[in-house]
Amino acid sequence: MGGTPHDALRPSAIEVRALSVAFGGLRALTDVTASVSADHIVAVIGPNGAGKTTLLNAICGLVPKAKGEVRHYGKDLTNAHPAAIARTGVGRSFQDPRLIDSLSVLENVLCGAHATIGYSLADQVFRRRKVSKREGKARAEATELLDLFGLVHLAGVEAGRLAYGPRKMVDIVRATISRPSVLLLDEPSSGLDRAERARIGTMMQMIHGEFHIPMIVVEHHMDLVRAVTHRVLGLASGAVALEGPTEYVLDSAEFRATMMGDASGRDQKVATTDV
Amino acid sequence: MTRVMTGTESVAPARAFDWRGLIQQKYLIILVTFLVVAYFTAAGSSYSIFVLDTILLSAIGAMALDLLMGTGGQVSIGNAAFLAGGAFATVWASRAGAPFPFDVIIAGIVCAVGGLIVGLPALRIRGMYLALATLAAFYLADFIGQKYQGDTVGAAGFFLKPVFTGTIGQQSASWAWLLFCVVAATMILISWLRSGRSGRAWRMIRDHEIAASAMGIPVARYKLLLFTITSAVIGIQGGLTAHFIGSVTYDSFTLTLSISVIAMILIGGLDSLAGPLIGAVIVTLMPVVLPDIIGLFVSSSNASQDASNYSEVLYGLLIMVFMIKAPTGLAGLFRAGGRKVLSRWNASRASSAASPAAGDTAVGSAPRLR
Amino acid sequence: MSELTAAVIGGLTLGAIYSLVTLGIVIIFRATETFNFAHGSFMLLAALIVGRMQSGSSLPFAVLALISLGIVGVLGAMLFRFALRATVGRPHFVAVIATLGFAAVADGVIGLVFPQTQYSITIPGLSAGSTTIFGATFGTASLEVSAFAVVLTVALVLVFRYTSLGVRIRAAGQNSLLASQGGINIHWVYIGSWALACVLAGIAGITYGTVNSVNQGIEGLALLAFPAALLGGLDSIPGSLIGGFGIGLVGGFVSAYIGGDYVTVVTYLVLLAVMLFLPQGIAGTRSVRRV
Repeated sequence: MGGTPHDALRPSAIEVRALSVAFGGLRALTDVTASVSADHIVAVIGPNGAGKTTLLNAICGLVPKAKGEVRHYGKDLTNAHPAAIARTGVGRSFQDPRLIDSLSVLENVLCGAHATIGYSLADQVFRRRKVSKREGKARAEATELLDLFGLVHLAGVEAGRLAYGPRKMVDIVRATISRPSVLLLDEPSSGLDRAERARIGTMMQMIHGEFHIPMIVVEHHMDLVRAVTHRVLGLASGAVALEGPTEYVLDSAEFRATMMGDASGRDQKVATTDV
Repeated sequence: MTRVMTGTESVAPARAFDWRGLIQQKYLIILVTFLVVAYFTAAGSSYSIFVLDTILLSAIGAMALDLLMGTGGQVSIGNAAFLAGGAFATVWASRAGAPFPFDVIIAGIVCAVGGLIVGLPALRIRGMYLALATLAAFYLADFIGQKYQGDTVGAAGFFLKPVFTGTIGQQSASWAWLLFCVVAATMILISWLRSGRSGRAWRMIRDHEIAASAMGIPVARYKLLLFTITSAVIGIQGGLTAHFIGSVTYDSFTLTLSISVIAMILIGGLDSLAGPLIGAVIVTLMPVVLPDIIGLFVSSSNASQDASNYSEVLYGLLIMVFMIKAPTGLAGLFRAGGRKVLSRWNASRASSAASPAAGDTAVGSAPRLR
Repeated sequence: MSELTAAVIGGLTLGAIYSLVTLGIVIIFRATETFNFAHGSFMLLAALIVGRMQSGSSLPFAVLALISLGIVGVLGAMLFRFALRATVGRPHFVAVIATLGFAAVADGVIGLVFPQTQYSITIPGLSAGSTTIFGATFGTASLEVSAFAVVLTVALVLVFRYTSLGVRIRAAGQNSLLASQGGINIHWVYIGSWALACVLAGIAGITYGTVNSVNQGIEGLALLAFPAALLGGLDSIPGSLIGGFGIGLVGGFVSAYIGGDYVTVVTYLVLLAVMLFLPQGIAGTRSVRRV
């Protein structure tokens, strides 16, 4: 966690200013301003339909015609092409892990290294030795990363045969392999039981601790938010409702007022889905 | 389907002897093809060599179409357009003075450009709408071919001088070896493309296009590359066919032809290396083999006259069956069967090690892409 | 002037038949979100059955037509029930390729059962001879047949729009979950839609085959109906009239002023243009998902 005077001078990993997104007549985000420091894991919470996933989509360029500004370490990414944004280092996982079912877990993880693996299509035809060297190196890195997260025994398994929990974890590994400069996670623990949720939390802490990657995490499970994140951004109806350090926000009266119905309901669900 | 869990249970690390690590799949297939060609050119009748040549020709385009549809997920029913394009471009280049094989190479380049153009609508259209757009490309190619043929030589069509000398049988045999080289080269090229970074990119575009761009994959560029490359290969098949048959008429390129190639890749199995070859063999042999089979059941048949109709019925049925029930095709079914055998073998070998829940953890199950 | 008349009236005459075919395609699309690439096969099959039976028996035309349409309708329903229903959750092109496969099957069967001879169909009561309008001559029969097609199409459009049965069918196509909870039996709607669409295809095939001859050209008609469906709007039932006549007119003008062999190409270029610039067609409502 930060706290030195110098931090104020470092550009934020992600800064969003007056971001507004409308789909037809529906205003999904209204004038959202927030920033994520390079040291933090920030949770984005709020009831369904609050615009959390839209915020992530706007940051990584999947929402056309967003108004306002999105900056990544000072660089303006607003309405840029998603592939270009990804290449500047914005990584992302999806709520429903979009894996290539017919490929192995290792190949899926390597897919995330598309921008960093270091050879081109032409190389694949004319420079086979370079390709096999880079592939080998990438495979070793991917295997190491899977090992770090305790998933290496699944490396050769066809992704389509994985259960939901492992799928979500592989999606996160895939997003991490290219060492992004910021990682966006969309409900990484949804649909998981308590043990798997804990593992996701551990993964997030390791990504932050080992690789120093800041994260923006859309989450519903407050136990995970409390355990792992540093700050909380609360959205309601497309606007920022509260913002601040995790402990402070989650214990505050405002939080109980604005998020209460869903949040505590979810906490209860958390307790009962002890699979 | 048993699901693989993580973490707590231990998985028996004893891997089965993975013979696929020893020799890459494509070289195995090339070796088998070599042996088949060697056998038939040495010992087969000239008719059987001719049939072999047709199979080899079909295999070229089938492999390309599988890269486009199976790996890349781009639905195209207009591939006959590029067969026609390749054939007519070869004729045109040949008449302009280019000798074999340069006229075919030129045709390949022309079709690459054509593929690039056809790929442009594919950037905005997908699925069944893309299928319609490729149908438009087919009619356009058909029209151009018709006009070109009509304006130059008329209904009789174009004729090309034979490439090889000797008797029909010797020519067929020479073709067999030439086509073997082309098939082998195509297979190697396509295997290089469908594995590694580009293979993963195309599959990601196929399965989750939006997520693909969020991963840094330039979707438009890869789609255009895919159309360009596959159209060039199909065009080369068209050009080689033109020389092989010796004549080109626009009405030999029909929608039925497109459908038959789709049948090949579906029967063989989408997104597989061996699938297009398996499919090419089966679909090409149908009109050859079916009349005899039917003759066993129906005494009165002029089955050979109706060979093409019987074939159409059969591969039409197979298209439906495989598309609906088994899109991984025969190649996929073999793989699944092999996996079952392999995992049962593993299970019995590892029975001493503690391996409780994950009984079906597939060892070496993922198709190893090279 | 006679060229213009030939273009317009010729285009409208053909357009009437297209509308009928297009209506069938739209009905199928609304019910099951599929293109039926085998539509032409149903058209041809119906015409062939009537043509063959007419030359072989003395049954009245109406009976033969009913038998033929019955066969074709049942065939369509079976295609859906036994093959396409299994493709429901999967990407749309799966069903489309399956219909393509069925088209191949149908083609092969037709080739086997109805060998090369050309058949012709006679509908009793149709006038012989020709009519001249503004200097252009048309077979009176084809005008009458087209008038019939228009009347039938318009009648069906009205039925769909204004009767409670029609409304329920449209609802089922639009939101099947909700509709089924409202008491509409979805499966019968799907099967019925396919059967109806194939019957319409059969009617179009028979009527066209009366005026022209019964051969592969009939299947070509169906292939031109896809552009018509997209032009009018894939999910718009009234749009089938707009699209059908629109493509008919395009064909008429191209045929009269440029040349008959340009018709297919131009029509499909129109299709491309529509898909790229006006994907929902003229009368289509929802944003047709191309994703």
